[in-house]
Amino acid sequence: MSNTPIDRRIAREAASWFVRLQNSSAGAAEHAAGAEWRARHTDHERAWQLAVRFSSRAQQLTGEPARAALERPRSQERRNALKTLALLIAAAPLGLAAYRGLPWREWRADARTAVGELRTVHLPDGGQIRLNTGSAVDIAYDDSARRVHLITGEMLVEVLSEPARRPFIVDTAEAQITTLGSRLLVRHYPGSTFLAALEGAVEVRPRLSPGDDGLVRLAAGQQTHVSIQAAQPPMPLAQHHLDWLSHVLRVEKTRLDDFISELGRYRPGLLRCDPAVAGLLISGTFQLRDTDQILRALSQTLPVDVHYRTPYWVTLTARANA
Amino acid sequence: MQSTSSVNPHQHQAIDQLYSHHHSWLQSWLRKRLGSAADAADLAQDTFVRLLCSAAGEPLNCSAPRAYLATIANRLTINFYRRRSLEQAYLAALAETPEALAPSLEHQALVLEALDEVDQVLALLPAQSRQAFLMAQLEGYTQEEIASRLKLSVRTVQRHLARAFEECIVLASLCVQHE
Repeated sequence: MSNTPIDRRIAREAASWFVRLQNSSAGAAEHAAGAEWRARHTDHERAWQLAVRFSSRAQQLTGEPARAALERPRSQERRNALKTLALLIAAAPLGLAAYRGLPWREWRADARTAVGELRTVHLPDGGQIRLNTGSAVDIAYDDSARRVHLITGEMLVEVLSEPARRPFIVDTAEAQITTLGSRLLVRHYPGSTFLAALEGAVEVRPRLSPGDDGLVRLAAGQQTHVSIQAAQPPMPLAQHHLDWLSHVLRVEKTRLDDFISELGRYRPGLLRCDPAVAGLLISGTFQLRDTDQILRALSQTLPVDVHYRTPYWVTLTARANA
Repeated sequence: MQSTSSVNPHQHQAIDQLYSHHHSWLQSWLRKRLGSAADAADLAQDTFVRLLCSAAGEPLNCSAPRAYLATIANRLTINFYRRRSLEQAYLAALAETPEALAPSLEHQALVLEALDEVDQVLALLPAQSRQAFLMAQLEGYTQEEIASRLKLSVRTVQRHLARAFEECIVLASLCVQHE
């Protein structure tokens, strides 16, 4: 790991890419150019990841108290730290008057994780969300419901039941999931949502059959896949779904391309495998904290070569004959 | 990981000397400024820790040791007051929150940690960048909305936002030692 300071010029370029690509008008070409810039040098990607991390840190701070703290008057701070302190203490009651009368019962937050990052988000009702790598959620609580929109990625939610019995609703692109109290795992795949009830009961409705005929109920220990049209019947919960909580990836006789696409979730940049080796089978338990180590292990146990074009652009190919 | 590991023995010795000759001077200098012996002791300690951490990168300036120590201690003092004013503003605003919604102490500590990280960057920014950043990141306004509210062009808003991310990248890459 290089821990050297990042050059300000690179920081500036990374910041400029990051801000431009956040704008919804940025097109596919611009995103591709940004990805290419990131892949060009390890420091580019490092700088980018620091911006992502900072952005998600800031986005966690959505409560009024946090905002009030960041918006506090600070013009005096540099001139005379001591005086500022006295001023702030004196001014606090005035400043706070402005925040009275806001609808406190509403609570909103967005949270996301960078690639390779795990994060715990605490909910105002005492529950919590564990976000897996590269995930994003919007959270909105009001008088009638507790809503979480899983935009991308995977999360484990601990839903506490409330005396007020507000339902807890998880929205994904394909489904709406409702519970009063449970521990549930939700993962968004392209075109489908995976759902597992670890504790408590959960109901799920596909977006296109919102009525009772589309409804599937999961009891504790059951899982299902939901497309936008239909939910599969409940199945017994498979093992290893929560391995990611301890930064582990466990596979048994899994195709290399499937393994690589799963591993790619935890590693920034591009990770690909040549079709010629896609069907090789792999078993084992891998520590996700060091994906380079995993790639090294692959080249030792399978007939593959690992090519690093940059640390963030890696391809697996059939071993060249030695 | 250990950012002190690459301090050469020669520099280590120089820091030892600085410490034994000037530590008590620094502590009393800080006490006069801060009015608290405990805070002064903490900050004096932090000054030497900072010296050890940065010694790997930059050469020690030993020709004017007290001025050098005072410069570092000054930066830490500003940071100390920034953090304290942040905590007080947060706790004061929290006191206005209905009890049912008040976060647990553990959660408050987590929030303060994140707040401090963001606040350190905001402290480096001009007022308008700060405002644009808070609107974008905390309130979820789009760049176009910020532009129309602040009566700026979208490009200018992007420049303000980029300034914030630039500072955060530089700052974060300097203090990687805590994870």
